[in-house]
Amino acid sequence: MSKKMILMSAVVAFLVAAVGSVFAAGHETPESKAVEARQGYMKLVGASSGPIWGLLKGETEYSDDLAKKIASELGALARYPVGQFFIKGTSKSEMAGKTRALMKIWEDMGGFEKALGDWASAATALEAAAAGGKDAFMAAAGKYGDTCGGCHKPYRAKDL
Amino acid sequence: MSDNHAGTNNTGGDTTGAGLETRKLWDVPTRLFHWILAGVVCYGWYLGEYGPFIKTWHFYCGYTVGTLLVLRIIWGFVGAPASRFASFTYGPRAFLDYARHLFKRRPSHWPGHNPMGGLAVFGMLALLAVQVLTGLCSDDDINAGPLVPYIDSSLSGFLSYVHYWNSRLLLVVVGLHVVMIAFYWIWKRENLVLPMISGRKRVRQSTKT
Repeated sequence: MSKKMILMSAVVAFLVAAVGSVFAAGHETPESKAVEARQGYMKLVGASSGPIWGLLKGETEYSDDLAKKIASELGALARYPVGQFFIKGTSKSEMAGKTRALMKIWEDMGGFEKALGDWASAATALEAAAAGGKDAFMAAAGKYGDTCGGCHKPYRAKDL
Repeated sequence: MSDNHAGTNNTGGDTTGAGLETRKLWDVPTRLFHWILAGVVCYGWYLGEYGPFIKTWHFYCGYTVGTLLVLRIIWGFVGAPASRFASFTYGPRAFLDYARHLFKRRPSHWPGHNPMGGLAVFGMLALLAVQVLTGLCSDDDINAGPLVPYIDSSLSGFLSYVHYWNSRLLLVVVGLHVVMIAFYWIWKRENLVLPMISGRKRVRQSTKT
């Protein structure tokens, strides 16, 4: 191979890699959409759960209106089937730097779905509890918080 | 400040040619520090790992550990001889000497922290300092350390990650510490736990009187 040929191949390889990476970076795939969707969902859950942590820590004052607001938001979110976004190919192993979802979710989908279901049940239970006054709601809030770790401890990585 | 620095005159772990005496080695603050720290660190670790998701008591453990560390660092300069940092800062030769005597089946009668033990003290203090400082900046979406509002959220995410892995490192070092105590007890027939309770230890006679 002549020097010129080697140089040409290097240039072509570089261009292919550069163009490829530009497309890959900005290109939406079903996988990237699924990851963004579930992360957006998680942000909503976090935003609506925030006041619960405030109540449990004693930083926020309880009111029936606040309880009902939290319960209706989380109830609505819990009824939304977020499980559909956990499609194959969207684990941390396949999309490092994008998601903390561990491959264990797909290896143990039954356990993951059960943990997700437990959380959803605890979230919808807040609705009934919100009608029952402070003590009932705080008890339900404690149970609700206990279910976060159901997914986040075994199925979520500590970093991206 | 310049009174007897136990350990500084020792070059090895051997007892030959030196008389023995039982004397007060660990002063009260050092012993209190040790046992309160051990308890609070264990409880804090347990709460972090298995405790309720509201981490208020884990936070209290962290603040306590931080306070203890500050007091111990001060004590490292003004405390009793064996508690001073200068008394267990050794050069490379002391480490070699120590290693040569390590597996001898007899008590070391070391008057303070030996070279490896001293290194372990510095290591544990440093790891605990990292643990407390990263804890102040950690956020698990439910509990946020007091410094979290003042730092970038990506930095807080990274420090939460360090907080977790540093705790694994601490587990290893604390485990090693306990294993070495057992090794001294069983292999070298030297009880190092009792002196940390009573303060009194059978040691080589001090060269200064």
